Amino acid sequence: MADPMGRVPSFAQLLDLAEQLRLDETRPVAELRKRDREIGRRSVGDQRGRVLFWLSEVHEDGESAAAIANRSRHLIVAVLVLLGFGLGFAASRVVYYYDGARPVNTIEVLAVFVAAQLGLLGLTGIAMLPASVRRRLPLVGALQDGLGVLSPGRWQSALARLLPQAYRDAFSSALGRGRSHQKLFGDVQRWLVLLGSQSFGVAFHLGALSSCLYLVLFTDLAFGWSTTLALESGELHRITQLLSIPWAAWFSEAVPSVALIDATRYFRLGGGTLPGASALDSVDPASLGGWWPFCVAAMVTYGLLPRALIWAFARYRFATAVRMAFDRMPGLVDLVDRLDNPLVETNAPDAERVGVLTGTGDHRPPGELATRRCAIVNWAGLELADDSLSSAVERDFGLGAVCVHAAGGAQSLADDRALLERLTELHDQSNLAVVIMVRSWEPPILEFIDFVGELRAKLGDGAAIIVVPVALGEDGVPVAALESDHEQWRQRVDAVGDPWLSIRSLAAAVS
Amino acid sequence: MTTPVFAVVGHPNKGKSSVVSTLAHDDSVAIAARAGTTVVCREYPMKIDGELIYTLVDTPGFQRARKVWDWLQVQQVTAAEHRAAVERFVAQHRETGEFPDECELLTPVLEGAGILYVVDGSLPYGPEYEAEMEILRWTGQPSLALINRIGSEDHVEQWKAALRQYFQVVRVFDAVNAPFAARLDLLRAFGQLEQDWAPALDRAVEILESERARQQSRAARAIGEMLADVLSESTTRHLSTGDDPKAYHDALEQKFMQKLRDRERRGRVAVEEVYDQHIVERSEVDVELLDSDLFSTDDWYFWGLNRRQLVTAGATSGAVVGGALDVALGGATFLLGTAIGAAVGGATAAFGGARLTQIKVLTLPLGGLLLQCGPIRHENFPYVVLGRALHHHRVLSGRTHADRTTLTLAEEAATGLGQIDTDTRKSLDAIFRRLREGAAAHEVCDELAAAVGAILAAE
Repeated sequence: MADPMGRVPSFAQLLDLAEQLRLDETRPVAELRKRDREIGRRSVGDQRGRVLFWLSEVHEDGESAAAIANRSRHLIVAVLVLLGFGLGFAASRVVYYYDGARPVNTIEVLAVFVAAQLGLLGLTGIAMLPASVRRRLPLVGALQDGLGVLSPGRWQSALARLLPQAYRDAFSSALGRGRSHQKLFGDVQRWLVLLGSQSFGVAFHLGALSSCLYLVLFTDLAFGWSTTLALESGELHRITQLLSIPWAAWFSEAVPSVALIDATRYFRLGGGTLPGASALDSVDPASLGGWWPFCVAAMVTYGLLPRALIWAFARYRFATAVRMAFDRMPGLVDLVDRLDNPLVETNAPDAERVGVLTGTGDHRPPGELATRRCAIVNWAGLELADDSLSSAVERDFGLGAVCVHAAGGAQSLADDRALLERLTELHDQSNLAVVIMVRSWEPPILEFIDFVGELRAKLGDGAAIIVVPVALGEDGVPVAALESDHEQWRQRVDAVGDPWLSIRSLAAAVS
Repeated sequence: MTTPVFAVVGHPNKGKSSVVSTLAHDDSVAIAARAGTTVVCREYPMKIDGELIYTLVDTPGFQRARKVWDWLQVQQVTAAEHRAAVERFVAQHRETGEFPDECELLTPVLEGAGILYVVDGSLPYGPEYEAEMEILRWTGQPSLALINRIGSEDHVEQWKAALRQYFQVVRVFDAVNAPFAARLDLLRAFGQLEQDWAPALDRAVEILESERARQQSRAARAIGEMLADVLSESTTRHLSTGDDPKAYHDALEQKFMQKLRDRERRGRVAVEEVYDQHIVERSEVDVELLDSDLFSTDDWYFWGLNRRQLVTAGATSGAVVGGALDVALGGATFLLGTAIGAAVGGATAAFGGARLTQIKVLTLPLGGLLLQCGPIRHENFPYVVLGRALHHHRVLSGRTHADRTTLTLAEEAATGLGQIDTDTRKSLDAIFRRLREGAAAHEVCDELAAAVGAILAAE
């Protein structure tokens, strides 16, 4: 049913699309955008055509489960057609049964192949009423449900059980998917069933006609008419005239005359099988078979043709339902969006390498100091007076500051080196500790770690070096750092792995 | 013409990675409180259909700027030789491992990248930054300084005064909270650094604006689909003829409500995916408002229509039904049907429907019973779901990729439905009415997406 230009999707393509979009739900969006845009740039035509092109591109080699499911459907329809043909052939053989004792009853032919068919056509019409009517008239819904159970199209599921395992599985899987998208696939399933029913119906009528023509050609049938009802020849003539309207103008041989109707009435009782037959020309026994053109024309006009038209309509509506389900498939809008719009990439293509701190990383609480004196280093321009730094250190750590020096920041490297020499001298003279007060809000950088390393090298093992992150309080006084800032400095100091290097926090704001 | 490259440089922990994350819409960028998280340059190429437009480069922070500056000053070169001196420095130290961060960050700059120097405007200026700025000035590359405010204090003016002495352009940019327009504005500013770069950056801005519009449209569709599904959802249970349906009511109702909640959550995740927000963390406490029970009617007037709007909506629905009666009777009712329908509809919407979920018991043709819970027909319910979705969208679409905080949907910041113009309201009323009348979700999905799209576009 797919057209050569690829604009009309087939049932198999609908199943393929549903399956592919379902698979795509689990894939990263970035990957989908890249893949689909690449295909989108090569595709041309209208939206549906581009989606079908996309489907052919993303589809992996080999026959898809959807294609197998579709083939299964064709097989099942073929079985339905065979069944219909066989049943029609058999029904016709029964209705046209003639053993010489009793003629073929034309009334029976009309009942089975005209009246019953017209009734079935009416029911088919009800089954085909759209969902909007079904919603408004609850009775229609109930009728449709009831008819659905009787429809030969429903036999498809049962027939699927006769298929080989692979076909059966694919068909069940396709039906299952349809059920999971009931709201979307509802129409497709409905018309699939109706199309199956109509295929069966058309085959039934072809079978019946074949059987009828076979009997006409190869046997000598005698027709008559008989009914228990009080039906006069004139009334039957009017009925046959009415039924013959479609072909009367161009196929007059198929319109029974009054004489034929009078002559071919028969009764079970009294006077033989066809008491009126003497009225016919005795040299033309073939007149008794004069009914057959009428019967064939009625079967074609009221059986085969309407059924064929409805089959064509069902096929058209099935294709429409497939197309609509295709267009409304969840995820299709996103797919078209990915196909049609430029792929904008701004992310890094590779994973980030994140730096880790090296060293022991062990955090040791500062131990008891062996000295009560210290030298203070104001690192990187902490904007606080030397006195306030000294008093904070004395108050919180019990260390008396002998001097306060600046390092880092605006100081030159030569100044830093000179300070290191000075601190070494002081330590050698009086074994004092070195307290480095840093701006807590600035991160510890390697320049600072280098300074601490050089200081350790100068002072030697065992000399206490204390890092104190300091925040600025109101009125220019040093206060304890925020916990997050202190933690950042602590991690960095611990990572140095120096057992005599510690970090301390000011106890509280100094007023 | 070479494609522009921009190296985001600066002192450690001043928000370089946040700037990159926001501009590259990439939430995979490591943003940490600890200095030295970024150890190697990482490129963020902006490509349109594979065509490279510009590249952002996230770099490690300066770690030994004073030492580098000291080395450069010792070189005794003229201004014309400054760049060559920096190149010599990198060449000499690349393999020694003595200045890994400086060599890494200066490499893209020396290869022609524009400089985006990032500082934290919430912290005071310090003289140690001057060595960094001097080194960058010696490279001779076009440069722009970004004052990023990480904390609450304001030292922006102090920074501006210092930065203007070193950089051509100085801009304030809040990397974590920058609205989309500010991000585009910054990209345009990049284009002004070098004449050749402007066309590429202008094109990038144009494409990003279109992409944003598409994202909004996709989000509208995701919200529309969620809304249609939630409003047409129902849950059924088959029972034997002898079973007592009432015994199954509560379980069925709970199952139905859970289905709705799950669908609403899936809708939110879909919107988050549209905006490439992958690592959004929700705290049950923080998102209490949005995750508050969908069926808690206490919140209904907050999220959905207020009582007056509700009466109007109900009256409209009633009037439609009454109007149909008038038409059917050829106007013999003198429009009384419309008037009565409106009055009854309005009153029902305002005061009726206390019970949200109704359970129907249907007798099956082949025996047994079918219990059906839902769909919810309450007039305000669609607007409640819509109001919650719109609020989630507002919060999410304004969130940058540098924002790694827990998704917070504060009640005081929520505006529920917000302002919806009359035409959109009418259109929504009509769609919701059709859903109440039994239309399938897919039948109204396009219209709903269009109506939600109109609301998002107007916000």
